[in-house]
Amino acid sequence: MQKLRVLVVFIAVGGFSTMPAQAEFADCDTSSAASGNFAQLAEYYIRNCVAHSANAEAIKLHIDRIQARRDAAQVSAVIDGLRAVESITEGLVDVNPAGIGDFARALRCDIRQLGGDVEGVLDCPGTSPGVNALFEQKWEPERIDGASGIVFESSIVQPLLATEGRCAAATVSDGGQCLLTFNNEFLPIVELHSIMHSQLVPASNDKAAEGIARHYSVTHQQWKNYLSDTGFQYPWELTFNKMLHGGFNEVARNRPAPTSRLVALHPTAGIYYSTELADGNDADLIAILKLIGIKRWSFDQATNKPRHVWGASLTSTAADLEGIDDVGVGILLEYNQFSLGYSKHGGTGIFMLNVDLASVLSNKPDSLPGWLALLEE
Amino acid sequence: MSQHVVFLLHGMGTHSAGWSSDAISALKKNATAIRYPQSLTNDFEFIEINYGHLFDEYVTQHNKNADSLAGLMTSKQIGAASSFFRGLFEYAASSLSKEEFVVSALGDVFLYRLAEYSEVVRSFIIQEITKTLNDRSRPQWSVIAHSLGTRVIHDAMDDFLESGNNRAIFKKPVSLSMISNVVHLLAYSPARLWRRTGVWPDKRVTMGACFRYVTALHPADPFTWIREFDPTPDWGNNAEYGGQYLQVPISFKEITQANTHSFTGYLENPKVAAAICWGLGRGNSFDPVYDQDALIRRTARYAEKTVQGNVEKVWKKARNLRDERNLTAFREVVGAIDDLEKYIGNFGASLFD
Repeated sequence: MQKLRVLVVFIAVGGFSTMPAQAEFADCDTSSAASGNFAQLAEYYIRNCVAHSANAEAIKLHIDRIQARRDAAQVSAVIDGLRAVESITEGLVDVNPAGIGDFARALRCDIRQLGGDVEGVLDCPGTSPGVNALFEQKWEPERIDGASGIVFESSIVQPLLATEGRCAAATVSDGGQCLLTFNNEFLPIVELHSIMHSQLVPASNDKAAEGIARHYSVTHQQWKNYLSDTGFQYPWELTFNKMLHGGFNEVARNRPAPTSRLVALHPTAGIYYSTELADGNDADLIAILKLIGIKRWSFDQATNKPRHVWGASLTSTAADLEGIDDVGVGILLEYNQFSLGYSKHGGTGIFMLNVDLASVLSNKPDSLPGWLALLEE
Repeated sequence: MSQHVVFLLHGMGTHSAGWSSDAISALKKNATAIRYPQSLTNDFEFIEINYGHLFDEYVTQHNKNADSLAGLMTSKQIGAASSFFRGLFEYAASSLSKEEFVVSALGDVFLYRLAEYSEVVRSFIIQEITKTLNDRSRPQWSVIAHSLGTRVIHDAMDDFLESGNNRAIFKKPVSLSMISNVVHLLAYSPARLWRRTGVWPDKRVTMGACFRYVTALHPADPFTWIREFDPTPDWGNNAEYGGQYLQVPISFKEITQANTHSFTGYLENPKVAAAICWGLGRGNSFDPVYDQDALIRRTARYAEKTVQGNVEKVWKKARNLRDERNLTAFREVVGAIDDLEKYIGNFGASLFD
């Protein structure tokens, strides 16, 4: 099996004799990341390898202590955990000085913020990624709905790679100096950030866990409201829209609720209006089949309900119409619960109102604010 | 130490609160009998997740829509339209019975697999799991799922544990116990399922979706006939799951109820209960354990409750009567026949479980 530190050095460099300076990395197969760039390699390493590293094992003891306490003693356990990370930091050699410097300073600021002793003068401007790590929003998982879920890929890995400009666009399989630089100078910092962010911080406060629960709650509410508040869907429409919104994937993935959907072969009913009928029956019921159409909306961030649901459909209509064709074709425009359509029956055009509108008219508001409120329902 | 949370997911159909109580009661009795060292009452908290209402809401929406159409549409309006047009309207205006929708049309399965309800169900399940775990300071957790619930939790874990953050913060479940496992049956592409899914058992915390995975399939359960859950070697992209996966060996004879798909029926089987206990492990040690000798004894007692066991009991008494030819032996035969009659009378009672 190919292992990270050995694999990337030997495959890409062709048997370089220089072994990495940091010897505590995980015994981990990274072959599937060898074709990507260094950011992807870092992400792969974080996702699949960090938990097996000796550093992570060492910090796990502290995490167990932190999780076992839910009182004042927890703060002391957290400080101990931070000091353990600091101790690992101090043991690193040859890593990127700017990156490790920021990380170490952030750790010391956190320790001081929690009431721990820190020697010397310490500048904690609050701008470094790790400053106030245990309390600041920036340590929450920013991309829990994203593809990777690795928060610092953009905030840490990319800037580090940018310091070696020619390496930023290189791929792992290019190997050479970029690979050695990445392994020796950047990977240790990436690993420590991962341990800090994905293990120590979540163990020390509930923000991240609550953020994830909140995310799924919002996702659920929006999916539920999409299915209930954008109009009824027949089974075949639900299937079409499943195909439209990602299809029949064997492996399920977190997906945000959609903001558009198809309308297809959708029977509904309405009221027509025409002054050109022979029997003088200007308005009556009409059957409307929405042949194909689309609906779009956005979600209200406060209520997670769809708002401004508008749609347009091609229709086929049928009614008992004296003097003109009973069957016609037309279009139907919709906004929230209001629908207005026009259909040609032979050479004669008729207007259509959706039945929902008819029910609204029976209780019509007597003021403009009342109408506006109805429009927003 | 906080209790190990065990989430329970039901199969298709409507389930009211407490749907699992008989099954969990049977599991607890079996766990005690096989000397599982943990107390399923004190060391574990069983929490039902009922998601059937999400499907019921669709039936309610359909019927509301149908009522409004049926009240308005008559042959006067649609008489001139084509038969296809009329057919759609006739379907649209007809009401659905919740029971028929589930049993006849496999409506829950359709909505979950072929319509857009998979996301709403999956996000609901994860929402319930994360909220429950947060409320309890994120203890160890496991899942016991039945029938459609096995596919639901499979997909939920594929979704949830794909994120490194979710995995790091909530940890993966200790065990997934899949009762009447339909994950394979409901696969769009079986080959892709085995190769690409993230849901397999793995010793490593960062890989797989649980530490131990249990499958229970009764050979007389029709839901296992079409496509049995039988992992191929490339499960989890050739993951090493040996020792972490257990398929309970159930024989065709082990039938105590007419409904061979019943959740309670499965958990009454000591071998299934032992496998679930194996999955749950022992405290923080993750060591699976129960008393093998006690399981053998319990299984022998269970065998007496099966159809075969009851018939054999009558046959044994009859042979005894043939040999002894006395009144006591005769009374025993009559008693055994009486017991068999009662057994047959109760046999069908589980059909709606």
